Amino acid sequence: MSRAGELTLRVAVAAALAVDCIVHLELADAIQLAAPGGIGGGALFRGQAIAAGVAAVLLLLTGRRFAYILAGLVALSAFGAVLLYSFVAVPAIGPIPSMYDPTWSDKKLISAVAEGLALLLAAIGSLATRRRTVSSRSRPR
Amino acid sequence: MEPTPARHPLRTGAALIGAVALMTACGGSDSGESSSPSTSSASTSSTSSSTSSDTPSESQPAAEAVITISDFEFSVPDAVPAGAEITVTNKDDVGHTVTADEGDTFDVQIGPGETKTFTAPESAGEYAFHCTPHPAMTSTLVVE
Repeated sequence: MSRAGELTLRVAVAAALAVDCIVHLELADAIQLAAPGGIGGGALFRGQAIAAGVAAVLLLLTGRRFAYILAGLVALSAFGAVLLYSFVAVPAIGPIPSMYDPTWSDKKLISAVAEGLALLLAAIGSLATRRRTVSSRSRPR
Repeated sequence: MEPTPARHPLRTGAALIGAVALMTACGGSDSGESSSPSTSSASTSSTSSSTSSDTPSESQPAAEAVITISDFEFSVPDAVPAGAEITVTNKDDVGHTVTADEGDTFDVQIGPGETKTFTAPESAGEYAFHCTPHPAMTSTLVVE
């Protein structure tokens, strides 16, 4: 992958994570009303927002493979959770409250799409940067 | 010598005391100690005391206004009287709200399995409302 391509990919993943971050921050108060038990849905959403924000900044600054992998894991955690809690009535598990929500709002849909996109693009980025690492190591000194 | 009633004053006394006690119990049954059925059945569910009414339940009107939340859907009565006390019961495992779409007419937060009350608007009309954490949950409260 060319440098321009990697930069574009990097910005796209970061942008998707930024959307994820913003939506989770906006919905944190509302989800706290729905899931007040345990550590609270609000705390979980804010934690997710922070993780997405940190992963986005780290990726933008470094463009390294580990940053793509971290971004992918953050996106996977959010994407997996939104799908799980939308289709499965998961009860409270320890400090994690029940957050079952079969309804879909505009913000929830936008966030889910962004998370899926971030996951896909981060996976591509981790493969692309891996190849670049291998090729740089094989260059003669 | 065979015993005669006169020779068993204890037995006679006990019988007399028992008879007097029985007559007294029968005569005192309408002394007003029975609980009012209207009050005992009015508040069987738990009621939180944050923004809702904390007044003790008195005799309920014949037509009780109840909004039920179940499976992420609102079940509302056809219409409620203006200013009526409305009971909201949440049967889901997550919290919901009953929030008026316009203004701050009413905004009730009901936790999982909770029951709360609020007062219907004083003005007749149709009041659209929604659940804040679940915006797809919508309904309309008709006040007459």
